[in-house]
Amino acid sequence: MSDAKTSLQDTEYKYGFVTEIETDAVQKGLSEEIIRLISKKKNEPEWMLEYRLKAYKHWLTMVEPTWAGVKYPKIDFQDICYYSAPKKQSEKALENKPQSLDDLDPELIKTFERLGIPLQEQKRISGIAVDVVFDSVSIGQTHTEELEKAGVVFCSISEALHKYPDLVKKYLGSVVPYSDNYYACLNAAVFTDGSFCYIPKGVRCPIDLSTYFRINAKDTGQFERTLIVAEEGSYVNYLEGCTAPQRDENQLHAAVVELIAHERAEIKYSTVQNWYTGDKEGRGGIYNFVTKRGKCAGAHSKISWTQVESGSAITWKYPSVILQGDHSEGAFYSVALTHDYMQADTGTKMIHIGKNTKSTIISKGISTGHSSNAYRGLVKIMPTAENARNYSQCDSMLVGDKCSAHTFPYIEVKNKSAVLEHEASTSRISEDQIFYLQSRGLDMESSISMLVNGFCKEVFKELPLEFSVEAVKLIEMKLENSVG
Amino acid sequence: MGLFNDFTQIQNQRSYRGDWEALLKRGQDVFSSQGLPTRSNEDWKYTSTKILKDETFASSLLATAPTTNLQVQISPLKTAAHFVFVNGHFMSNLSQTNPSVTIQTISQLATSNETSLLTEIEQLKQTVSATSDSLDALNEAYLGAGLALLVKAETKLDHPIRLTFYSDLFSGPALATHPKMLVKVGSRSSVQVIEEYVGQEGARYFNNTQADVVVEDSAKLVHVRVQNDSLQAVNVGRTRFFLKSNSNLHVLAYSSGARLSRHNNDIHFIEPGASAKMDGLYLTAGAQHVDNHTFIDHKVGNCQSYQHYKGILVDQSRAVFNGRVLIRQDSQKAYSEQLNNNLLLSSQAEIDTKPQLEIFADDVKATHGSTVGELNEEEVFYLLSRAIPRDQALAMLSLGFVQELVLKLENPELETWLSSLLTEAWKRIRK
Repeated sequence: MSDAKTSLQDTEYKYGFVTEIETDAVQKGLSEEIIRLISKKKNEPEWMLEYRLKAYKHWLTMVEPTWAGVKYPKIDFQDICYYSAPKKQSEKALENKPQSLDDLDPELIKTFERLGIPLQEQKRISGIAVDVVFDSVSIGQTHTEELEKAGVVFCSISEALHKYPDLVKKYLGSVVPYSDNYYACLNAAVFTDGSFCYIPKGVRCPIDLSTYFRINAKDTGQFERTLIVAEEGSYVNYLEGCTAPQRDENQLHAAVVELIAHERAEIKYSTVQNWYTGDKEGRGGIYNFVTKRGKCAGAHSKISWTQVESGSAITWKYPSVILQGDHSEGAFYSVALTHDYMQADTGTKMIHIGKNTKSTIISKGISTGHSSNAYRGLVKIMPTAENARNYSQCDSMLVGDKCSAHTFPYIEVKNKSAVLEHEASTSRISEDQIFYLQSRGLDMESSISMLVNGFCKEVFKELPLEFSVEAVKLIEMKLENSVG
Repeated sequence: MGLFNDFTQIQNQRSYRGDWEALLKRGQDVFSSQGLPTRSNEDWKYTSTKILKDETFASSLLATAPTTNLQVQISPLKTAAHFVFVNGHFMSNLSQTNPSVTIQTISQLATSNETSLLTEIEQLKQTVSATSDSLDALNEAYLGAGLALLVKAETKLDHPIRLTFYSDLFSGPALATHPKMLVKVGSRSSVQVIEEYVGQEGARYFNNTQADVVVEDSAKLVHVRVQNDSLQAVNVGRTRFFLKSNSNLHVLAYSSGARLSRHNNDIHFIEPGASAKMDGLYLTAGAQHVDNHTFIDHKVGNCQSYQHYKGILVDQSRAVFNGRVLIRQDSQKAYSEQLNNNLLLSSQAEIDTKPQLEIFADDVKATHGSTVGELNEEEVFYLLSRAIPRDQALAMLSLGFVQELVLKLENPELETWLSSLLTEAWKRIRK
């Protein structure tokens, strides 16, 4: 077992390359002018600019939160570039022409091929529609025709602001108001792009939707905004992936994701987050400070968050569900793997408001190296939530004696008919299990990998197939060299 | 502001010396700069100290001592030794001593500058970086009530040592008492200690208690803290245990009285081989608010902790449970269990529970869990179908739910005594 304790020293980050591409970036720093400039570059309607400025003014009054168990040097918000776009793209954005993938910079296409998203291929073959966000702007969607036929709107949020301003105006900030928290407020002021998705009444989205985020430029923050609205009786499966180049500086990623599920609608949101984690000494890496929240607005609606968090120097996110509609259901399935000097503070909030609401939380944390991994969650049963039900399970696994694992489950119950169960356990891979597998001819590495995958299985099975395969591979890759 | 600023008066009246004077000054300085904890403090997220601000309290140290012919109404229990304080004043005439136990009141120690136990405990607090908040500082700022208790090595007592803090219907302003207890249980001894807060019904007062208990190697201690203060009272307190090698602790913290009650129960494993059971019970009704914060610090390896808190809530009462378990780096082979079960019997009651694990060592096992729910209707029906009236059925199920922890003490005398307290509490909360 002593072998297993060696931290994940040599795990290579295979997405660490930088794409040499001309970008159109605004100067560093944050001010009202910069916000006006971003809004102008994106040719936004007046109300959007007002919203941004309102958020910015509120943000100035807020203080950076310190409650999470993560340590990092103070962020200089004036040292971040709030808008960076691949050049060709940004000219297009100004002209506000519909974007087609064929117009993309070949360099950019190569980048995504290296990332394993051949857009050209995906466009024709695979069954997933992809929206790709590069630095600050969305650079292209695939499968638009097929989606249009079904009546599904899937486009970048900038495009949606022009094409469907009423929808965006109605729902933007309805789940995560700009005043919600420090980073959500910053995002509301400076968000540059993201995906917008609207599933009309009764439509089962014919293909899975996917967004791919990539931070490329140096000193850039990525502030994207995703908004998904599922009308009555609709269904959508949404996937999100992220990578960033290997750099010595820390980069900030403060996204906001809002989901709205109306009566009997169902949204499944899956994330495989693999931002650059920093090097072995903990230099560089992405600060992933994200606000994700869904609202089960209608009766019998369902929202589920599934996440595999294996990247970022610091992860700080709590995908939540507000269970407003009666009989609505929320779920949170998470695997968080930390290595070297990574810090993850992640979990969920389940706010039960409606009657007979149900929530499930399954969280698996694996810490190795010098990393720290925390589950922080809240289950709140409001007085109106008759017969609410929650089941939570948080398991942690420690590999090595320099890492740490924490759980902070907050449970607030204001209704006696609620039934809640929370359980958590922490342990390490037992020597017996390793011995058992080794005696059957598996080497140490495969044994650990098999045990970790078994540990995470409950979550992986919630992922769509392609993601599930990717997640297993990702965990395997991260665990490589974790053993002698 | 609840008048926690008459520090100069205390200083003038008391002639404390050396380290004791320093302790008093430290408490006054820390409290003056921090004030009462507010809800922006994470540890006080669910509990407001507003009632302490709204009410005016006079220090019981400055108030006249009660007359010696006073009757103390507490439930009878056979004891090996009994030390009684009334409104913060030690009543030697009501107390009963034991040759294996030496006691000295805090005022005696402070005026004679006898510091050996104080220094030992302050050092232990430093080595574990013990948590303390401004209420601990407030306790020190009003240093004077309480006692130091030493149990000689190899002492075995059949009956408990009982410390009673009684508050009566004082005719003057509401009194604030800040008892401090320094306890040391000698090597290889086996004793039971009861730390008890009782008040005459209707009495308004504030108890801010602090007990530091050192359990020497191979000693066995059963510690029962009973908070049965008057329903108009406020009780906040901290009990801190330091466990040396191969010692064994079983602590039961019972809260049923006071309109606002907050108890911090901390265990520090400072030498390997020790094991501890930490249990808690709370029964609340009306607008009562009970807050239990526990902290188990596995500072060294090879120690076991088992924690179980159970509570019953009726009316619009509110309970808070925050159980923190810390397994520090290199505390290998630590084992920790934690469970919090709550029974909500009214739709306005509220429970906020947070079991919290912080683990920095890999070869450990730690689990925690918590549940919240109401009585199972099927169980109630089962009893009803056997001709047991509904009220009695509810009582059987609810009392059975909490009595489990009393039975764990495996001490028939304490069982009978605590069961009678539970039955009384049940009658009160069901009215």
